[in-house]
Amino acid sequence: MWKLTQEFIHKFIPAFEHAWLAYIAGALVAALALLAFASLFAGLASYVERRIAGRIMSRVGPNRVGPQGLFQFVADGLKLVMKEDLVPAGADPILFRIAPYFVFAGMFGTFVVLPFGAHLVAADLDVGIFYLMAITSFVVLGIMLGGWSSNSKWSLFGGLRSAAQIISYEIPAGIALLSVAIFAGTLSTQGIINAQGGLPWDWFAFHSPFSLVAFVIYFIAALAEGNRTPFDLPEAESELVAGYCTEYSGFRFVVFFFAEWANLWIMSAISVLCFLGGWKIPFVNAPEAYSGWLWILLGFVIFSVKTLALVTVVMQLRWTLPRFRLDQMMNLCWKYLIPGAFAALLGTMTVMALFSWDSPAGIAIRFCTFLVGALVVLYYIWRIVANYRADSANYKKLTGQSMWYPPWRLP
Amino acid sequence: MIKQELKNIDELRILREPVEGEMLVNMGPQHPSTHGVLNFLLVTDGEVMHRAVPHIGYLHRGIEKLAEQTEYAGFMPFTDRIDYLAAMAANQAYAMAVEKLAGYVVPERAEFLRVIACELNRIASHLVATGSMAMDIGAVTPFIHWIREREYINEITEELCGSRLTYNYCRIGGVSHDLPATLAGKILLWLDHFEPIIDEFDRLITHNEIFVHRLADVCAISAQNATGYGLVGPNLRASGVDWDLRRDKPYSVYDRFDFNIVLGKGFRGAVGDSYDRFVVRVLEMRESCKILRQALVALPAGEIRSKVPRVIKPPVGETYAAVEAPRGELGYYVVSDGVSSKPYRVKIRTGSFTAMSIIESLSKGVMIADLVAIIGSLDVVAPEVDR
Amino acid sequence: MNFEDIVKTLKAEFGETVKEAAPGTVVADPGEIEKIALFCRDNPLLDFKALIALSGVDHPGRIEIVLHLASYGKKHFLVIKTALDRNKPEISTLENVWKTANWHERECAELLGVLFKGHSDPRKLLLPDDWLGYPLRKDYVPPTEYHGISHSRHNPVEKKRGAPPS
Repeated sequence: MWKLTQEFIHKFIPAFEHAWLAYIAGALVAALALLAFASLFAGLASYVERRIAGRIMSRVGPNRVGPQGLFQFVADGLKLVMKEDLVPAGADPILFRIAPYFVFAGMFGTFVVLPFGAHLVAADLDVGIFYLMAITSFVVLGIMLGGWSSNSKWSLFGGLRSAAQIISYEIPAGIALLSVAIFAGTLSTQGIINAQGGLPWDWFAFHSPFSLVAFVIYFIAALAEGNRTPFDLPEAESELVAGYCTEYSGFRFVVFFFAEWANLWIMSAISVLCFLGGWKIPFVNAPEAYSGWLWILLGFVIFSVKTLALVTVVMQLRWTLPRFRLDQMMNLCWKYLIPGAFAALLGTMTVMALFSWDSPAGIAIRFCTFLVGALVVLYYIWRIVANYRADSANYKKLTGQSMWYPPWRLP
Repeated sequence: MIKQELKNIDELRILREPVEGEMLVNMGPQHPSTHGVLNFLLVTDGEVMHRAVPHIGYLHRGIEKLAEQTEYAGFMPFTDRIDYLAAMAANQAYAMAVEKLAGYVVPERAEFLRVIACELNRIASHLVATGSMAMDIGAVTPFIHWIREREYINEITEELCGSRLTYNYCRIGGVSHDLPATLAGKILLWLDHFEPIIDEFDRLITHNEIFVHRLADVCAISAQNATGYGLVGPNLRASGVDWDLRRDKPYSVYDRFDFNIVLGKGFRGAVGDSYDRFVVRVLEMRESCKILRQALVALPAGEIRSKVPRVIKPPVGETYAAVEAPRGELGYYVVSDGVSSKPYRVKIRTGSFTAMSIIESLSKGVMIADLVAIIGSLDVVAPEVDR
Repeated sequence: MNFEDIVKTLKAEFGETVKEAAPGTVVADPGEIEKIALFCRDNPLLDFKALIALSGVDHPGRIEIVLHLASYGKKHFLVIKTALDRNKPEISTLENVWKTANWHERECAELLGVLFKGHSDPRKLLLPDDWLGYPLRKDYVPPTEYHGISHSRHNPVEKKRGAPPS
C-alpha cells in the first residue's frame, strides 16, 4: 500500500522528491490509515458484539447513543479517556505505564503484513507469516508486564495464565500455518493468497481432510491467543476479577480493550488469508486481472465478508461457551492440538506428494472435503433456524408478541 | 503499626504462618463470584490451593436478637431477609413454628396457596443458583435466560402478594392475599412455556462438554461427609442421601402431591460431585412444575386465614418447625415464655450456614477455578449464612 | 423407631443421666453429653447421623444447649437438652461426633458465651474479633459505639413530636 501512497505523494507534492522522505511519508500515511481502520473496527466490533450478545441473551443491548446505539463506543471511549489514570500504590510505575503499549504494539504490528485486497497491503514482506508469529508474541510480554507490575495477586495470576496460554498455543498455530506455507511455497501473505483460487474448493482449507483439520486447529489456537472464550482465562471475570487488567483504568484500559477487539479482525483475517482464499474473486484466478481499482475493491469486499463472518462466529462462541480450567486448557493444547497439528502437517504433505493440485484425484479430494465443510455450515445454519423457530413460537404463546424485529428496527 | 495489626489478624485467621512457597490471597469481600459479601483467605501455591479459610459475618444483622425484641407477628418481614432468594420458605417455616406453638389451625386453601408460592419461589431460587453457577464457569448467557424466566415468576408473585423479592406473604394462621382469579391461568401458561425452556437450557449448558468437564469429579462429597457436615437439601440429595422433608416429614399439604425426589447418581462423574449438585437442581425444577400443576388443579375454595388474636401470646413451650427450602432444611427453633408477646428465643437453622462450613475441608488441593465451582454448586447465599 | 423406644434404648445404656422431658425431647446430664452423642450416632438402632441444629438458650439461671438430631435412614428425630451453669457455662465439644457441630458451637460460643472444651477452632465466627459481650444473653447491653461508629441515630419521629409546629 505504501507504494500507492508513494506514487500519490510523488504526483501531488513535488517537495518529496527525495526517495527517503517520500518513503517515510508514505509509511506514515499507511500507518495512519491502518490505525484509523483498526480503531474504527475495534469500536464498531465492540458495539456489534454487545448487540449480538444482547440478541443471544434475549435482552436489548446498547441502543441509546446515536441511531440504534451506533455511537455507544464513542461514548464509552470518551468516558474512559476522561477517567483518572490510576497507578496503584506499590505498583512498578514505569512498567505499569508502558505495559499497555506493548500489547498495542504487538497487535498493531501485525497490520503491516495483513492484506486487505489485491494490492492493498502495507508491506508484502517475504517473511510475512513468520513476522506475524513473531510480532504477536509482543502481546504476551505486555500482558505479563501489566499483570506483574500491578502489585495485585489477581493481576499476577492473570498475567501468568496468559503467558502460559499464549506461548503454548503459538505452537499448534505455527504448525498449522506451516502446512499453508508448504502449499504456497512462500511465507508472503499475498503469495499465499495468490496460490489459492476464488472458488471454495480451491481454498487451502479444503485441500484435503488434513488441511481442514489444520484450519480447525489454527482457529482454536487463534481463539486462545486472542483470549477469547472458551480461553478467556487470563481475564476470567468470575475467578480473577478482571485478570491482568484489574488495576487499570482510564486510557490504559482502553488500550487493552482496543487491542482485544482489533485482535478479532487479525485472527479472522489470518484464517481467511491462509485457509479461506483471501481476497480472491471466484473465476478470476490470474494475478494480472487484479489491476483495476474495481477489481481491488471487489476483492476487498469479498475478503471483508469472509472475515466478518468469522468474527461473528467468534462472538457467538464467546456468548455460548463456558470457560476451560487452566489444566484442561494446557491438556487440550499439549495432548491434542500439537500432536493433531503435526499429524495434519504430515497428512497434507503426503496428499501433496501423491496428488498434484490439478490432477483429477486432487480435485476430487478437494471437492469432497469442501462438501464436508459445506455440510457443517449448513447444519450450523439449520440448527440456528430450528432453534429460532421453536423459541419464537414458545415466546409468542406466552407474551403474544413476536420475537422477530427487522435488523434496522431493533429495539 | 497497621501492618503489625494486619499481621496479627492474619495469624489469627489462618492459625499459622504461611510456609515458604505459599501465598496468601484475599478472595472477597468484593469478588464477583462469592455470591454476597464473603471473604475467603486463600493459602495457595500458584493456582493450586492448600487451604481456603472462609471468613463470614459481613452480613450478620443479628436477626435472632431482633426476634427477641419484636412481636410474633411483627417478626414475619424479618424472615424475608434471611434468604432473599427464597423468602417464601422462610416465611412459611416461621409461620408454621408459631402456629405449632400456639395451636392455630391453618385453612386448607391457605396451605395450598403457601405450597404454590413456595414452589414458585423454589423454581426462582434454583434459576438463580444454576444460572449463577454457569456464570461462574464462564457462560453468561444461561444466567440471563434464567433471569428472564425469573422475571415472569416475579410478576406472578407481585400479582399474588404485591412483592417481588421480600414477599411477607404468609401470615400466622394463613396467608395475606387470596389468589387473584386470573392468576392460576397465568401460572399454567407460564409452566407450559417454562418446561420446554428447561430443555433448551439443557442443550445450552447442562450437556455442554466443557461445562461437564469443569464440574464432573470436582470436589465430590461422600454421603457420610454430607451427613456429618450437616448439608441439607439439594446438596445432600446430590450426595445420594434420600432425604426430603416434603416427603419424609410431610408438612403443609405436600403429602397429597405426587412428585419424585431427585438424587445424585454420578451423572457424569463421581456421586456427589459439583455436576451432580447442578443437575439435581435442574431436575428439581421439573418436579416443582409437577407439584404446581397438581396444586393449581386441586386448590380448594374457602378461607385464607383463620381467626388469630391480634396479639399472639403462645403458652410456655418450645417448638422446632422446618421446611424444605431451596437451600435445604430451613428451621426455626422458637421458645416462648408464656407471658410475653415476643419470642423468648428464636434460633434459625439455615442450609447455607452448614454448606459454607464444608468448603474449607473441600478446598485442599483444588484450583482457584474449582473453588468458584464449589461455592456456586453449594449455592451459598451470604445473608443466609450470617443471618 | 418411635420416641418411647429411643428413650428406652438410651436409658438402658445411660440409666438416670437421661430423662424424658416433653414429647420428643430428652434431658441429658452435661457431663455425659459427648458419650450420649456418640452413642446416638453409632448405635445402629438410633442412627442419628445428622445434627440438624445446635442452639443455646439463655434461661434464668441456666443456659440450655439444645441438640436437634435426625436419622435420615430410620426417619426419626430426637431433641437432646442439657442445662449448664449460667455463670460458668462449660461443655465438652461435639465436633468429633458431628463435624457440623464445629461451626454451630463457634456461633453458640460467641453469641452466648458457652465454652466448648476441646474445640479445635475457638475463633469468633460472625462477630468481629474484638467484640465484647455475648449478644444473645438476656442481660446484654448493646454498646453505643464500635470503633467510633455510633450505633444509635437521631430519631426523626421523636424530634417532630417534640418540635414546635413550623
